Amino acid sequence: MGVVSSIYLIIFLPLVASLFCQIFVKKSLSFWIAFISCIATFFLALKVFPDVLIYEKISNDFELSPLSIALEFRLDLLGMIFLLLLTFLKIVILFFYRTDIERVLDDKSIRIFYSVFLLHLFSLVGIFTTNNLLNLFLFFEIYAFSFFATVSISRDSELLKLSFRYFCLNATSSLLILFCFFAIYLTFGEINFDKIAENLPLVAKTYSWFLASIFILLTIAFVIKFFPFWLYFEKLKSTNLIANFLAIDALFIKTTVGIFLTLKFIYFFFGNHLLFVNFNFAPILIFLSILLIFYSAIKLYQQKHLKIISAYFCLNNLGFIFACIALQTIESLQALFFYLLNFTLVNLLIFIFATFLKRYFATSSINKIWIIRKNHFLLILPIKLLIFFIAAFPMTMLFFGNWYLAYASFNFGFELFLLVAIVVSSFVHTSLAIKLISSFFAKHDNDQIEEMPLLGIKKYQFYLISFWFLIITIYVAAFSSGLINNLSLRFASYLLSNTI
Amino acid sequence: MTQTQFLLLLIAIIPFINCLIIKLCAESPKLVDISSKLLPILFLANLIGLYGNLNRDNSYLVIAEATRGVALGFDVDVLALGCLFLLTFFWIIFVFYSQRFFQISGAKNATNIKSFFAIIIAFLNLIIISKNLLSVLFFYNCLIILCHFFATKFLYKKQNSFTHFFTFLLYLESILLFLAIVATYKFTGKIDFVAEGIISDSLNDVQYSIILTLYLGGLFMAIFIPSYLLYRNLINLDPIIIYILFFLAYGLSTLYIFIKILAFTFGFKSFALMGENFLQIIEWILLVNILATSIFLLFSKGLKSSFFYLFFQQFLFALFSIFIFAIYDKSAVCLALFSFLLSITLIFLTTSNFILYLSKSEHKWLGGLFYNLKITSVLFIFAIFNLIGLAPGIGAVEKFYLIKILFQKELIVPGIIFGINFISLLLFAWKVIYPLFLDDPKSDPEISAEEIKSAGEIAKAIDFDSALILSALIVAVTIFLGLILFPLLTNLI
Repeated sequence: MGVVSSIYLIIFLPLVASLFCQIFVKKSLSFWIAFISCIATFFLALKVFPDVLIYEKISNDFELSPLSIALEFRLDLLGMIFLLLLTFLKIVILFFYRTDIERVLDDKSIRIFYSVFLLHLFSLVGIFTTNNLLNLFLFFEIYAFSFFATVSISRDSELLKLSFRYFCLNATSSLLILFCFFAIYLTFGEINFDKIAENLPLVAKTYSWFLASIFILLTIAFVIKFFPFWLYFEKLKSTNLIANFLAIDALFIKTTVGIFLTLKFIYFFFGNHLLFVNFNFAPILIFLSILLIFYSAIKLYQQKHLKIISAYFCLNNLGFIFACIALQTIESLQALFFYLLNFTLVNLLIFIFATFLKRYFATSSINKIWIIRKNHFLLILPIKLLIFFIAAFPMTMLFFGNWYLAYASFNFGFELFLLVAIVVSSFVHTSLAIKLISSFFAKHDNDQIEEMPLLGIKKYQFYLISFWFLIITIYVAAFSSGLINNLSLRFASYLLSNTI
Repeated sequence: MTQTQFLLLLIAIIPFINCLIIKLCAESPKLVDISSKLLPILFLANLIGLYGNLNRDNSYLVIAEATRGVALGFDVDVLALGCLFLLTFFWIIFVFYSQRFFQISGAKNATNIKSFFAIIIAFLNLIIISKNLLSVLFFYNCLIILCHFFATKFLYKKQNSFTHFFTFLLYLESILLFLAIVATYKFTGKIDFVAEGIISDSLNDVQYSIILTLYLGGLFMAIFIPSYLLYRNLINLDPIIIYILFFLAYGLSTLYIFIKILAFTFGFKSFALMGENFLQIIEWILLVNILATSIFLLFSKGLKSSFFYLFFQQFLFALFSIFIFAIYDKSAVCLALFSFLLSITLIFLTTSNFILYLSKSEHKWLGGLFYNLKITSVLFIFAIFNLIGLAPGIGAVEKFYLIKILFQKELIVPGIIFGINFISLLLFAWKVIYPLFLDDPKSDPEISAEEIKSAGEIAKAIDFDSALILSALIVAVTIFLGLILFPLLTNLI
């Protein structure tokens, strides 16, 4: 199979699988269809990965307007890395929620759930591979639709109210995006990313204020659409299955897509010159990121609930990611790559572990992790192994993130404040690692442990698989740090070399 | 893989095998005892082999390489080898001593403390053979986490509050150490240990000061902020805990890392040029800290708290000596380190014997202890006088070198620091040694003959016990030999 046909398969496989989920009535079949198509998408992406590394971008443009809109794609190193990451996350999430979904939902809802799950994946693949604005908008809408479809399965009125709030915000942001895309089309007469990027330097000086306005409007739209953290914080402690599922989507999937779009628009659309030379947004961005880092660090220090801790870890990482974007150096973009890995892998493991705790032991308190002790030791071992990554030990993702960011910040300028942010954030991370250790080894009476529920293997097998799947991936990444560092260098060089 | 690399790998692994045996064979204490004694000897044999192979072939061993120059790996040089021999010495001494000590004292956590000691030795060993700053940071962080684990698992709640705060400070230190390493990499492009140092003369004063400040903060912030003085009512830790937690895990590791950084990152030549300016700041920090610790030492009640404050006072003094030697006479740097380590070890062994005796006998005070524990008392007096510099031992040589520099260079504040240390130790010696000779318990009419007999038996069990007293005697002899063999130490750098 050629590279181009593999990419088409990556794009359309989830869509076709989504239809199959609706056709087959047997509920276990829906899961396996979803699982196999996710795995196939992941491995197809892996197969294409070496070609993307060699050519940096693979695109297919039919040069015909209608076909072009429907079938053109552009898979570059940036899209590829995000595609691999998010497909991987989807596989983990699929496994993690398997037990709950089969227990809570009826047969029909299960089919809808998996079908929508795949549609969601289809929209994500579309966002990462599309090369024109219209398609991008279309995939945004499919993405939003699949999100609301998942909510509709829930019977929680609180959750529905929350989703309605998000729906209103999403509609506003969609309108803003549509307005911006339309304005861009009117200015450039194009909707193709590459062509707009080619023409942009020619008109950048003349239309600089216009472009800056478009940039600000798009920023607002993306923040509302992809970083709506504040909406879900109050629901994070909920034990409702759909609420948890949406929380993962809001914290990990949406945010990762948001980061991807931020990078794509900065490096392949508006360009470095416009944003960081013409209108110097760097100090503002660094200031905002430091605020975010300090805010999340203070909140983290006070927190006891693992779910909330994971959410603030995400905010903390996000602050660093924005700081990396603002610094605009090879090292800072390498740091971004590592923060992204940490964001999606380490934080997700903490979050799903907390969800498991909350679901079966009615608590996600960091002080009560010992309560799993009565159950199988393999359940708690991944979190014990994760302590090195939370404490940012050398050769871990967070360590390399901090390492490259500190390297980029050792200049006599306002970047120095980022060093303070690193110290504060690292301190909070290590203090949480210490809290975890204290919790693991705290002395408790046997009576207290005896009171805790004992789960059967069937109840936790899928949780166990997802925990181990994640921790093994995290450790493999740490042990192959040479490879990951090279990849981060390629990633950073690619972004900077393509800067307009 | 070369023969040297293979030996180095074995040296890295053997202490972990010891940890595994202690953990897995806890049910058969005999096996644990035998392996605990055999493995350090096997380690020593490997070390001798490594000494024979040193500089013959490549000893540079990489475990994982992230990017060019940023790797985890091992290497060995003369300084590392010297410290490895010293570590093996402490390992053997502690194993023989602790086995008998726990037998007599009947301590509940004996196995846990032994296993913790084994892990500490394993990580100290890795720190010593680290080939670059990143490896040092990695293993040092592991050590800090282990310290916290130790504090959480083995100590009582009231002791925990202090040790928690201390480990928090250690974490803050490790973050600063991390920044120091990044700064070194940024300014020099290297983090490997290289003879003559990697920080070139091209660095300007500001860059040099930033790096040095970060390293000092990254290694010694926990004692520069004297948090240990704030927990006066809580400090009643057993000497064995202080020895493992503070002396080995913190004292030995940080002082060794500091010397290694001075020698192989800054280079003594460059440090001698720049460090003199820096001394003017650091000497005041050390003066205040040594003065405060000396006051607490003199007003401390009981042997346990005295040992605690004595350790911190001498740790600060060792740091001061290393700083002075690094600037004015690099050959004596290792002398300061070895003198501190050996002296505190002897004080620990003798103090532990005293505390063991006091906990077992009816007597709960030092008065007349000399008459029951003659050998221990003599060794204790020797250890204290060695610290002061008045006994024939390595301490006297160190103090001689120090006085020589202070007079030659006419250093006033360092002279005051030396004076404070000398006077406070003299007063402390008077405070603890005088009661030992106060009166013979046999002459006290209120004490019954039976009590005297049982106290005598306990004293005999301690003072004439081969393991307890031999280990202390060996350390004392080593201190004495330091008087003759000190040129060996001056050649380590």
